[in-house]
Amino acid sequence: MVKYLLTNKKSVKFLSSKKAQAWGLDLAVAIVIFLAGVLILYVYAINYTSQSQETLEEMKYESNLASQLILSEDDFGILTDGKVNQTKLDNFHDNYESIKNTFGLRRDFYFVMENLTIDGAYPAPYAGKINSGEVSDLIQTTRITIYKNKPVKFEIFIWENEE
Amino acid sequence: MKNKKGYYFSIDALIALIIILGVVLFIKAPSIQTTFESNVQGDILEVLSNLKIGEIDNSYAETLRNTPGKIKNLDKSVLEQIGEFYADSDDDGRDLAQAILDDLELKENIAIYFDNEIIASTSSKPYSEANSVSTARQLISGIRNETASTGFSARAFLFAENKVDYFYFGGYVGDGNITAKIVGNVIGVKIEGVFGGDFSLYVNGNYLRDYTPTVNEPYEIIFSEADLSNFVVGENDIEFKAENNIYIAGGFIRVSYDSSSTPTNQKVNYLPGIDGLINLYDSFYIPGELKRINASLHFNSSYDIFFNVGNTTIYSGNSSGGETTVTITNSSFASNFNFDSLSHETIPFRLGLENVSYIVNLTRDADVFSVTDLSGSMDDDLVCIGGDFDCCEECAWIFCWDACGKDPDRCLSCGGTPEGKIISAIEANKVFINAVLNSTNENRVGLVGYSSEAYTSNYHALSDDNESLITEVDSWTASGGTCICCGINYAVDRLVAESDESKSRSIVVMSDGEATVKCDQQGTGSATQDAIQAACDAYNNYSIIVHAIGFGTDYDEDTLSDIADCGHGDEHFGNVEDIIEIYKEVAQDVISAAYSEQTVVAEGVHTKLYPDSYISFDYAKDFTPGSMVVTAETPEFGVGAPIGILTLPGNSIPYEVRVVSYSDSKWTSKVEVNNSLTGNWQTIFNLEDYNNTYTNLGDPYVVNIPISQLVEGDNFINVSIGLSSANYTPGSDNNKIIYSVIKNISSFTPVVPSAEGCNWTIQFEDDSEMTISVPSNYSGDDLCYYNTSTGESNDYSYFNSQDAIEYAIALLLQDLDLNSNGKIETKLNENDLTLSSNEIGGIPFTWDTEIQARVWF
Repeated sequence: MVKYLLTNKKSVKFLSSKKAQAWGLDLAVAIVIFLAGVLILYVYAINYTSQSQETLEEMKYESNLASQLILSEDDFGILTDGKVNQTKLDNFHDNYESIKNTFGLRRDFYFVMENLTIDGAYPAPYAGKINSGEVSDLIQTTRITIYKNKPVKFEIFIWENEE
Repeated sequence: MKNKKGYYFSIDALIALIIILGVVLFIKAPSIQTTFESNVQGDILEVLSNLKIGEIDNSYAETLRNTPGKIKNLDKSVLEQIGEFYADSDDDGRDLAQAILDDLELKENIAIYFDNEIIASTSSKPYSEANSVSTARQLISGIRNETASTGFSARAFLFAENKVDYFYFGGYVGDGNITAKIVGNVIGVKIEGVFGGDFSLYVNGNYLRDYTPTVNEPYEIIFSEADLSNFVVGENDIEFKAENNIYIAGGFIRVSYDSSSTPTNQKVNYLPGIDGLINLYDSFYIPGELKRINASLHFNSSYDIFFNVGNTTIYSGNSSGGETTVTITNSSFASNFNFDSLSHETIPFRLGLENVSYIVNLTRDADVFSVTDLSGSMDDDLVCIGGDFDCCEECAWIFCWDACGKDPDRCLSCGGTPEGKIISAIEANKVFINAVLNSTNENRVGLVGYSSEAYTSNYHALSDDNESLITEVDSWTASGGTCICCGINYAVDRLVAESDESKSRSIVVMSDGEATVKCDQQGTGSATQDAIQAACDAYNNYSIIVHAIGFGTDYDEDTLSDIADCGHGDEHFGNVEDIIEIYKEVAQDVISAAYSEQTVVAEGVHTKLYPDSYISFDYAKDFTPGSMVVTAETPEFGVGAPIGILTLPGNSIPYEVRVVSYSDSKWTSKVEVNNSLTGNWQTIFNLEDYNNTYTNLGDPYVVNIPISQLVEGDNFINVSIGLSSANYTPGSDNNKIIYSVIKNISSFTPVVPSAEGCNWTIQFEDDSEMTISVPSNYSGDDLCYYNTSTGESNDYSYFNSQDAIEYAIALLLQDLDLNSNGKIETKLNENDLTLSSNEIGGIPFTWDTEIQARVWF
């Protein structure tokens, strides 16, 4: 160390600069790493929110569509003269998959009503399909219809299974 | 070691990055994201609309159903039932709605509104704090708060046949006492006609009263209930009697009958009875294909009478001093006429005395006196326009003045033009003289100038020498007072002396001020009353017509009007600029009044045509009305518009359309129709088809217009009159159209809250009024009207539009009032009105209530 001091004044400066370089490089690398992390977080957050919103909108659409088609007097609907027709209701439940495909729905769904009877079973917990997988998003749409000569709530559930 | 310290930052950042990635990759969002959607606001209205009150599974509804009388109709929807309760202000509506909402146990904040009035709600958050609101709407008909929700509709029918018929006089019926035979049970009579003088009216020999009709103008008589009491069921005679022979120059008797009659294809036209000089100008119309025709003439005449149908004489003879009845058989008609030519045609016929020399010529000559005010006031405004100053100047001592102003001759000689009332009066008299004398008749004019009295110096005897007359007029100057009665009396004396009753005699009296001088001859004590009385005396004593002219700015209009009224003449008022035109008009009136070719003037001759004389015919009717026939009259054609407009209403079929023509002393010669069907004026009647000379032809007062020539909407009818085929002038302003249409008279009402009835006061076309209860057992106090005194123009009905029966009757009456004048054409009583009214539930009222279901968050 003296040698350097004695032989070259510049050498003395050189020795001091090298030590600072190590700290500076360290800081620069750290900043780069930090910014990369923030960027990754940002991109992920945006993509995740957008994807989630699209999914919800799609589920709402499917939920509303399903409730309209079910509470209709069409062939696959369950109403006759504005009231739930038990025969059509049973048929719906029994042919859930095909009707779901006919509706063009991708997700499964089920609905509940007060005093629900399905194929003679009373009280039936629901009509439609419930699977046991993990559920990420759930849409519940409430309608009112006439069942057994009574105004009742009609609640349909449609969900997104966790991937 | 010191070098390692240089990676501390990087290591920290790396660790931070790892942590971030760890969060992103390994730390997840909440496991289930649940979103609630709702559309219950629309569903609740739909559900309540689809669910019947009789079937809803709801404990409150069940309670209502079990309450007697609470639910009137189980088939109503729950929403309608709530609406009905709402309309009736019954809180059960709110409670029922609330019970239904409570049962639903909705998470949403929801409320049901009727016209923004909340009916029921379930909410955890006040509506006023809502961040967002979704609303569904639905209209429900027939519901309005505090208004009955069930309504009534009524239907009214008129159960009556045609009860109006017309007895038409011909274009001229005279001369003597005249009788019309009316057959039936008479309940209303209106007479309209042009009468040739004062007369007394009798029904079945019972005197009613005297009448003084206006000469040459249609005069109307409406029978009172007391008058009608003189009629009997069956044959009735209405008699027009006068000391001197009178005539009817066109007219009709409109008769309302109480009982219906079965339409018949046989029609009997009774001829008017004439007790005096048989002189009838008339017509008949066969409204279908003629099958048979015959006539019966019951008369008493030592003189031969003739009966002309068209231009063919089908009977001529006398009764040899006693009564006789002559029957002209169908074969007689058949031998003279092709029946096809008579079918659907208006046929003129003439019944008169034959080969009698005292039937006067075509016109009567006019003798008229012009009686002119020459009082001092007539030259008050005398001036000389443009006279030479030096020539006109007159001087005495040191005073000079314009001598031309008060001296028309000097004014003229000095190159000026005299102006003033006296100058205008002189000029007007000259025009009058020339106008009256410029005629094919042997008319004469006399002159009387009056001031404080009528001086012979201002008089000119009746003459046709217009030069002499004009010379006399030019000599007139003005001074003195105003003795109108003097002028009239003097003229009357001279007319009586110089003329006779065969002439059309009249006086034209002119004045510029108030009468100031009395006459002993009248002796009323008043100069003005003497003047009026002088005119009355002229007409009453000598049948001299007195016309009156008010001239300038200070004339006495009241006195002159009374003079014209009592003298049965016309009144005219004007200033200096108007006076010549006025005299022209009066001259034309004088000339027109002189036509009297249809009048018989004879003395010592008495004949009689009995009112049971008739013309009868059978015909094949084009169609028989299956519904009610309603007959109406249009307004008169009006002054300056001698063309009538017949507006045929829709929803009706024209049945008979007739134009009546007051032809005065001429013949109704031509009738034309113009409408969208004809495209231009189409002649439907032309008297010259029978002869170019009309003297021996009948004069139709009524001309039928073929239905085939008419269209719904406006039809224009033009009537011409004349003395021959070479002479056409416009018809009378008083002409009108009498038309019948076939209508299915019934009315329906919309649904309204009540149906009780009313006491109706109805005005009929003859201005009589009748109060009837509808329905006949109605005992309430409601008063309804269909008349001109209570109703307003264009809506003469006054009733409660919330009462179905009142509404139905009002519509029915409006339908019956064909010409919309507030008077019903067909007389009716409560037995004629058939009503049905039904309470109707579920038929919507015209009003709506908006129901809303609101959901808010």
